[in-house]
Amino acid sequence: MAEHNFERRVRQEMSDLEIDPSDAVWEKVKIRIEKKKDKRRFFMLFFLLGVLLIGGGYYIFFSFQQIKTSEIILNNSKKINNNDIIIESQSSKSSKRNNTQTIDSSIATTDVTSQRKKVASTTIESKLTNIKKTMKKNKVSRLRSVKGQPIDDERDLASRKVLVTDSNKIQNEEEKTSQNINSQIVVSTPASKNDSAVNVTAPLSKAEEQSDTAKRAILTDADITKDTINIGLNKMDNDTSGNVATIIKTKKPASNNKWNVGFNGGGGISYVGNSVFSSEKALSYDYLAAPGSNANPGGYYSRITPLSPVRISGGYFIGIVAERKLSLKATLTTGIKYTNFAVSNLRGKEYDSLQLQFSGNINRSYRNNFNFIQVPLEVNLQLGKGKKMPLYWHVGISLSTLISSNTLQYKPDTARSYYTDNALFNKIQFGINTGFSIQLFKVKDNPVTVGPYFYYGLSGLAKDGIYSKQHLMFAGLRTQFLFKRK
Amino acid sequence: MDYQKLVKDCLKHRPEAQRQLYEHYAAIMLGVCFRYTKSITDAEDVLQDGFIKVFKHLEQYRSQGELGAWIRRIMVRTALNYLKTNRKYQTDLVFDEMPLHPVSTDDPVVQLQAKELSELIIQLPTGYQTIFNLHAVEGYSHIEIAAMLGISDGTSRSQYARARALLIEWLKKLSSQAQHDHYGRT
Repeated sequence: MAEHNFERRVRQEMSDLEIDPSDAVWEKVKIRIEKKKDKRRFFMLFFLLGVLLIGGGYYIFFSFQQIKTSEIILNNSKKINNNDIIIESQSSKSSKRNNTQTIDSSIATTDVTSQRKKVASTTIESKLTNIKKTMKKNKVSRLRSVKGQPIDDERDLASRKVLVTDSNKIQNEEEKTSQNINSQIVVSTPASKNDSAVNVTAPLSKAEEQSDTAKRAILTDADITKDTINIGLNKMDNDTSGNVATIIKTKKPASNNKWNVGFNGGGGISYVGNSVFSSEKALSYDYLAAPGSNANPGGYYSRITPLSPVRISGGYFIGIVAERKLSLKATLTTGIKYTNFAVSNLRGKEYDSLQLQFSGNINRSYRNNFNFIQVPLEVNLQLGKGKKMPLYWHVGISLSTLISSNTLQYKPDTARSYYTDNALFNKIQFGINTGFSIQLFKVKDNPVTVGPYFYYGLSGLAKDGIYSKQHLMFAGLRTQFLFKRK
Repeated sequence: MDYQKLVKDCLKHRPEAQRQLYEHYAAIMLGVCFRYTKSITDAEDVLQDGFIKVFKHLEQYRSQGELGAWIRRIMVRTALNYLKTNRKYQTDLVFDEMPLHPVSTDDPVVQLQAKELSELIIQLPTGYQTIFNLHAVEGYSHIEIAAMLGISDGTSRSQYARARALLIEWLKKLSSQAQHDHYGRT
């Protein structure tokens, strides 16, 4: 066919057409490729930073938890506080029950009641394990003898679990209630074991030697596991208490000025507009269609609007936070989070998957995603004096970097197509946010808060295109979980 | 040339492989870009954007088809995008709905030289030029062209018919002028 013949010849000739480009083209291509590599490196670094932050937060939190239980001080206090807890052994035989074989473990905490509950519900094995661990770490544990003289830690700590009063040695029945009580923690071994005095390590006071009431010893694992221990919570009178030999103390950390780490996340609706109140908008496009063209059959240049309005869509965010107390009722929060805002519009059939180009018909929905990494800085103020369910007001700023987007631009010329061009967006954006939250409950003393959250992109979304002079907005619910340091 | 290895090396971001790929295809792709634009400078802009996309999306090349054909498709798409977004071409890239113009069966016996032909093609109005290139040179059907440009396939046919007729007319003139010059000299 003649037509085919002409086209074939054209095609053949055109396939031979070669024009050497100038060197500048490759130089520009090279620079752009390297930039992309740099971007990749940047995101890798960003990711690693995030991992480090999470890992570091995790490490700090859990190492702190271990230290919290670690300090054990055995001292020779002469007074028993009201807070002291007496642990008595049921395995002591009846004859020896009359002896005041009391084990007083004084666990110094601010909340005595809660500590008592904890002690009461804890088996002695777990206590001993904790002590063993602590002693092994040899961080802050100290043992003191009855008179304040240190026990040889190296010699004793590895194999010893708890200080015990050898019941056989406590013979002086006359000193039933008023005598010196030398041990705060007394775990009596079964009768068979009682006969054997276990190694007494600390030198005793004269009074103790004279009364021969108590010597301290340390049980082995086997001894302890056989014991049935009854833990009683008895208050003892300050004045009537005798000598107290051993106190196990838990150190109370000063945590008010430390950073607490946690996670937050949320979801809601996002949209773009000129202001907060423009929820749905047919964005204008700064393009003047030529007179007489299809787009503008009239005689003057005219402004054209896209075929489809941009609509509200869903958005979400997730991140890690770090909180620090500023004052009694104010805290400062920062962190890093991944945020996805989106709007939707209608577009036609895709005709170029590589460049994401679509015809301008309006028969298919399309979700335009804006993916950001955000670094927020927030001040949180407690409203009112509620302690059970405190209410907070948050206000802050956030710096965002647009990491990716599939958002469509519209070309209202004769082609009337949608296409992607992320170069039109502002990569770095600045926004403000506010919200409220209420502490709903606690998970192991770590507060969980929930409340409304609002974000407004102060800087324009794009430099050019249909999103120029538009601002991103988000309204939703946010929840936050903080690992509180005790 | 081992294209698969070249692609793999490019995917590993090896500069020498990227340079090799560019040098192998740059000249022929500039010829493609030139046909869609009006100047070498614009064609080089398209070539630059096209190669950036090539390297960016190289992992999407499945090694099933010819690498050159894949790159060529990217260049054509990039050129179309360039025409749509560049203000210089926007106003000229008009596809008026015209009554269907039957494609001439005229098959002129004219000498077609690549360079001259390409220079004639770029002198066509941008709309004609684009559709002529897409149909006659790239081999896209009018339905495909219609989807790519967001026009009806009838418009594409009509524009093509006019472009073809205009080009043949110019070729004939060129041919007769050449003959006249030839006889004049002799």
